[in-house]
Amino acid sequence: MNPATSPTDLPPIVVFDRVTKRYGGERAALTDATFALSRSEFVLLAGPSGAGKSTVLRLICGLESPTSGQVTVAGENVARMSRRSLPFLRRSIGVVLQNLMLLNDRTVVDNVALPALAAGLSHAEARERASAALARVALDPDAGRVPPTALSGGEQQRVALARAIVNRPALVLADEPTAHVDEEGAARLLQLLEQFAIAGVTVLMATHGEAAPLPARTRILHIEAGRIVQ
Amino acid sequence: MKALAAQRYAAGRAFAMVRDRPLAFLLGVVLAASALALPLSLASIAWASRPVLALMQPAPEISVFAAPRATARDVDAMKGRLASLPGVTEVTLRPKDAALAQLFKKSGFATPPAELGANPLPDVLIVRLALPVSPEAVDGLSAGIRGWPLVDAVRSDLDWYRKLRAMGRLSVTALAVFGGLVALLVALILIGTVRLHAGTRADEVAVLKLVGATPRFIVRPYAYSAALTLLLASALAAAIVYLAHAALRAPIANLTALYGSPFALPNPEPVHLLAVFAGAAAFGWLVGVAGARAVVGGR
Repeated sequence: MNPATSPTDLPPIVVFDRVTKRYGGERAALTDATFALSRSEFVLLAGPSGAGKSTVLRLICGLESPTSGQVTVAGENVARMSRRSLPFLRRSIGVVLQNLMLLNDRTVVDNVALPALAAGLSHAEARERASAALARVALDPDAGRVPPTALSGGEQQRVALARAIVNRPALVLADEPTAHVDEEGAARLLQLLEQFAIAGVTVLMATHGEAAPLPARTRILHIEAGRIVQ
Repeated sequence: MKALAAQRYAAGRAFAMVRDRPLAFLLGVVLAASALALPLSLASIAWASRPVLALMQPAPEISVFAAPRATARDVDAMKGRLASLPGVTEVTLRPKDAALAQLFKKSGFATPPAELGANPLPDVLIVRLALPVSPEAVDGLSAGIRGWPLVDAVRSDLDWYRKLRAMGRLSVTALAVFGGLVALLVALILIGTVRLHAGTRADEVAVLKLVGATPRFIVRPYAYSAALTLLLASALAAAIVYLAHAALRAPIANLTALYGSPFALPNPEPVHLLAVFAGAAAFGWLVGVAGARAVVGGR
């Protein structure tokens, strides 16, 4: 980045332009959603269960295509991206899902190194980055040698976060990251996410309730019954 | 190094699949080996039988009957002209005197009957043609020779040759169909195994997609696994063929000796086995890629 350019001078990293998403003939999971996420912004997507928060995250990742409207990430229309080019977009997005999706047949460090390996890094580089990411989320290096099941819920949450940041993404999406951790763990996680935002990463966190004390510069997007209420 | 890391990851995951479901993997290997053993055995027998088959393979012949007035010099000239025709490998003369002597020998007459007069038989030139040659080409050649001076008649008995060619074509088609069915069977076994592995690893596939793995990266471990399955299956099939041939060699040798044939049941040649192993692994890789793509498809 040009040192003279501040993150807010750059074009938004995510733009939703009148996006509607319907699954089959059911009611819309998301209706006419329009918003943008700026670089280095910390955004809370708040709403009750079933409001459409996960749909927003899935649309950003390209796991779903909008029924109408347009989702743009880093200047690319996600729905128009080919199967070949979509992985390259996803490497610039770190995702922490509600169910974490850690792979229990391998060690924590192998879980965290996976995105780096998938991005084409050598084995040594990927493990080096994984160790750095684990250190960044304040996990003991010894924790890397065990499978995720050997860790507590809060630690597993941080492993998922480490995996999300190992490719140094420009955008981190977190779906209910504080759902299964205690208050202290939630506060620590929010602190980490805030640090990423300060470091230039855009953070979009979906939550169904009031999270632990939010970072001061948090922007809150409310979503109710598939509609964004700014 | 980076490409090596992706290959190392894929190989590691393939071995993990085998480790996680060893019985399913072994079942796939044994089923594929059973399907491969028979064609491997037939192929090795066919390969070893080539010299015998070449001896048995009759080339089509054209019989050219010289006119009674043709002199020995005329017949020699005709023989030279026939030998110079394209596709002709050999021209042999069956002289009329030798033919008459043979006729008497077969009929039991000690001397020619008086009413026979001079030798009524013609000199015959037998023209052998190089293979492969179509019956139509033989017919065309015969028609051409028929118009030559001092040629009384030309005969090319092609019925047997047509039947032989038809049987040859049928054999090749039957082998192709059999080979295709074996390939299909092996592919179905492999796809079943790949689907089983991919089905139990749906979480891993979802994570890989989410973290930006390319379809090739996701599919590669399944390709390794399928290639390994067929590599081991082909090795097992070779072992089955060795054992089966060892058990059958003596009885077959006894049988062929009764017909005066030196044929002995062979083992597959090592160089051919290496080619089979490589081909099986490559086929496994391709089927693994196709099977896994069908399972992990979508965005």
